[in-house]
Amino acid sequence: MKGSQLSAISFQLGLCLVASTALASTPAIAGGSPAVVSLPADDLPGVALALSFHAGAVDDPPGKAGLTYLTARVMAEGGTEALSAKQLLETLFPMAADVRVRVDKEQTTFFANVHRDHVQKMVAILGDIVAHPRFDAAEFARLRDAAINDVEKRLRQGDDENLGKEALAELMFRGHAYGRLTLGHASDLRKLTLDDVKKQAMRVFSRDRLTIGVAGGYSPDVIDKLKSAVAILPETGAPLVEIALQQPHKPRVRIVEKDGGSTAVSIGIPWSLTRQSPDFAAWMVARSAFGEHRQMHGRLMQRLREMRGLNYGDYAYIEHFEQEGGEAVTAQTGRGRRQGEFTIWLRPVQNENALFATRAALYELQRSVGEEPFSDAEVERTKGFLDGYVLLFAQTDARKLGFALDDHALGNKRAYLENLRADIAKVTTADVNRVWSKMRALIPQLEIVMVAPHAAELKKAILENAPSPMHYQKDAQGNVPKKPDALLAADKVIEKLPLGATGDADVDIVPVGKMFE
Amino acid sequence: MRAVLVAAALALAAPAVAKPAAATTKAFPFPTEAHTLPNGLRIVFVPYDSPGLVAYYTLMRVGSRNEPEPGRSGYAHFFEHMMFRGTPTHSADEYGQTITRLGLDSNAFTSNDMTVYHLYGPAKALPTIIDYEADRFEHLAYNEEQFKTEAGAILGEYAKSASNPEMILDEKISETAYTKHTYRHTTIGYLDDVKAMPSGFTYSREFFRRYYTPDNATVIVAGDFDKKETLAHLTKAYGTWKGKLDAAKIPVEPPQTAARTAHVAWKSPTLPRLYVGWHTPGASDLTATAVQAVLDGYLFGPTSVLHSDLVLGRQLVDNLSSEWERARDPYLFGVLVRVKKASDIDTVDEAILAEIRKLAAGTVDSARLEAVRSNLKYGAIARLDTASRVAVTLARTTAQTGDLEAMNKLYARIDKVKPAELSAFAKKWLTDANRTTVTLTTGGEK
Repeated sequence: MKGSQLSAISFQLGLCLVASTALASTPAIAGGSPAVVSLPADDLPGVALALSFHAGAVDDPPGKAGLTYLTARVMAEGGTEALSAKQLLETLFPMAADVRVRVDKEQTTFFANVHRDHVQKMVAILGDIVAHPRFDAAEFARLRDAAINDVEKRLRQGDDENLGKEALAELMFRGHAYGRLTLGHASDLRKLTLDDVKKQAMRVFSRDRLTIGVAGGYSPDVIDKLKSAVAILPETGAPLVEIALQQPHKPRVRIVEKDGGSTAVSIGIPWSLTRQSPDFAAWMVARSAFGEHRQMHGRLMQRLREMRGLNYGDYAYIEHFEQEGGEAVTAQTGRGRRQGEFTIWLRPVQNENALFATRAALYELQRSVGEEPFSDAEVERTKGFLDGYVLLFAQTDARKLGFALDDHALGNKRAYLENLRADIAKVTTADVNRVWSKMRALIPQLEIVMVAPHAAELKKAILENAPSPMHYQKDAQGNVPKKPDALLAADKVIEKLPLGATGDADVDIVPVGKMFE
Repeated sequence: MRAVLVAAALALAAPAVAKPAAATTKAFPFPTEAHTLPNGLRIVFVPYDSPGLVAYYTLMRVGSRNEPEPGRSGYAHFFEHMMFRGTPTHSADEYGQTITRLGLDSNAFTSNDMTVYHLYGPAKALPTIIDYEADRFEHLAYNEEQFKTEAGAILGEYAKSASNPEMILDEKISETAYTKHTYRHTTIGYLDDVKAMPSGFTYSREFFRRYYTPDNATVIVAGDFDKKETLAHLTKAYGTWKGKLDAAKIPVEPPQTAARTAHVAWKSPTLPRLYVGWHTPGASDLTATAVQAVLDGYLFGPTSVLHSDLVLGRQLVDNLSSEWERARDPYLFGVLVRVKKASDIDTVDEAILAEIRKLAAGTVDSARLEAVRSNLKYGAIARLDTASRVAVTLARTTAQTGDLEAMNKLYARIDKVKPAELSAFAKKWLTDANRTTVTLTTGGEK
């Protein structure tokens, strides 16, 4: 029986050795047009293929926010000249593979992870998706609908955490090339045509912007086949968009007005830190000690969630970060950016505690550059954490390839991941506090987004610097948990902490229906 | 102090990586070695070629299924949080600081049938992991203040998803389809129950006594470690853990005799949702489970007739997703649809039912059946690419029946599923009387 044979073949291959956990798999980089980044071929059952373009939302023309994203999706999902969208799915499904596309501000990556039984078929499909897309009118209509619904229905109405983050991104980068949501603005998306999509593909998906990436158990002909598949692409595309260094600006607080029982808070500031900075490892230790993503040890997590039960999680980031499912936490790839950002993410808090939680985050920031710098014990512990945790960043060939592609895209001379553990090992407490002390000047310039109801009242409370006492959760008798005196004393300071907004222009209100319109 | 000395001694041992001995055609292709301690604790080793890394998973066969008392929905999950609140030997702070210093990625999750605690990171941390994990599972001790504070984090966890209409839709589906069984509520629990959690300290201790016993636990170690030393250490560290599972009785769901419907009126603009599902046998019925695993992709996957028609063809639907999982008790097999316009809900509903009728009448596309089989197999391989994913796959597939071979048995049975079995299953289970339909629209429009 056919199924049984298939089972025997595939599971045997599944037994092959897994990727080495060494962080270093020195990639071979061949310049040219297109460039090629390849990790040494191994015996693994999986093959990772990527076509990464130096193109993204920054290439969206005025009035066409979302065009690059929509173009990439129409290419990846809308079929090729050889295969309709339906046939494409029917070809990919038995392989349990799909061609996905990640569109960010400056990078667009078409990628596929496939069992090596199917690598030749996948190479042909991936090549066709980029070089011979079908640009089918029905698929264009479907995917434009999907993009509009994603902005209007999901992001605006059904996903407050990401609403807060994306609202902060647009606030921080107002007037900048990063200033419009990658998914697009609803009114722009509605006007886009299939012709716009075809033209954008010609403008930005050109060979001079392309890097081919290959890793895993591939055969030597794979690279040449991908190269010949993309030979038909235009040799050059539109000039690269200039990325200016963004300066922080007012308002201090933006309230995105939306009904609901809880408030999502995102805080941030644009800055120039990159992975190539000699201080990046020191910043990373400081960031982890202050607010490691989804781990318990950061100060924000300890003090807001663990001590006060304010919410589910509280984290800080020194470069752009997007939450994805699964194990993607440790592999933020395909989002190489020349303009950096620092952000704090407070997961939704009960409305009555929204101002307190925001103040508490600022309070902890102030203390960390004031009376409570990072201690030797904290730094040692955090370094120990990162020394092990960083090992998880590159467990699979696909992830290693992602980091190598990002290095290449950003023109990094020194491999980021390969050197990260050694760099972290050298960091001292003095280094951590030295770099973090720069936060002192940044705190007054941080921009704050709150997704909250009753915006006018909230604005009034902020401008009047009205106290916002901590409300601990009560039991059936109305009792709150007993807390140590020191914590209650800190609560009293936090509830009156000035938010740095005094004039009307310091706080603006945007109804949620106007966001990303 | 004893714990620290043991840790230091074992850390000196060079890690040895066992490679799989011979080719196998099993879906879970790695050889496992299981031991059971006298107190009932099961230990499973999966040597896996991940030099320097080890995954340590503790599967407790307890989940929101084990919450039969009214007002206590969400306690299995709440309890998962409390497990991080310390013991007389290692306070919560010390536990956290130690795990951090060792560079471990540590977390836990809860579902209907299981609560799983996991640590993943440098293999040299294993001796300390064993000591600290054994200690907290045997000696967990938290006070009422810590308990009340943690209740706030649970409320926050509820809040993080509260803007998503599918959270409330899930509640409505569960309480409509079930009248008695505890699958009637979601794992996070009802908002009222979550808000009342600060008053449940005594109940939480009772929950620990009932379910956190060695005979209800499986420790899975996967990756780079020495089996002999690890077994000796585990035996010593967990040997003193006592207690017998004292599970509360779970009400049996009576057979459904007439179709059920329910509707959620959502306040803010959203795409309408349509859920259609049927009561079906749980994981202990291997044939029914294999058939459902196949039908999942066959009826609702990206190459299904429904997807081709409703998503790509007529474009009435934004997204179609199967809603099925292996469950310990009889569960639901169904589909969740994001419809573009509320006025199309009935048309979409009818298209789904027509496809079910066709299947029940004996029409099966055998080429698509083969494609689904192939998808399941290659999908399974792709998901076993790190030590952590190997361990979590074993935990997830073992939780329902307790059988470590469950995944292999399932895939072997999937290999043999015949077209006629798909039809027979549809005819028996995917019937009108056994169906639950739940819709959600903005303000109740339709």
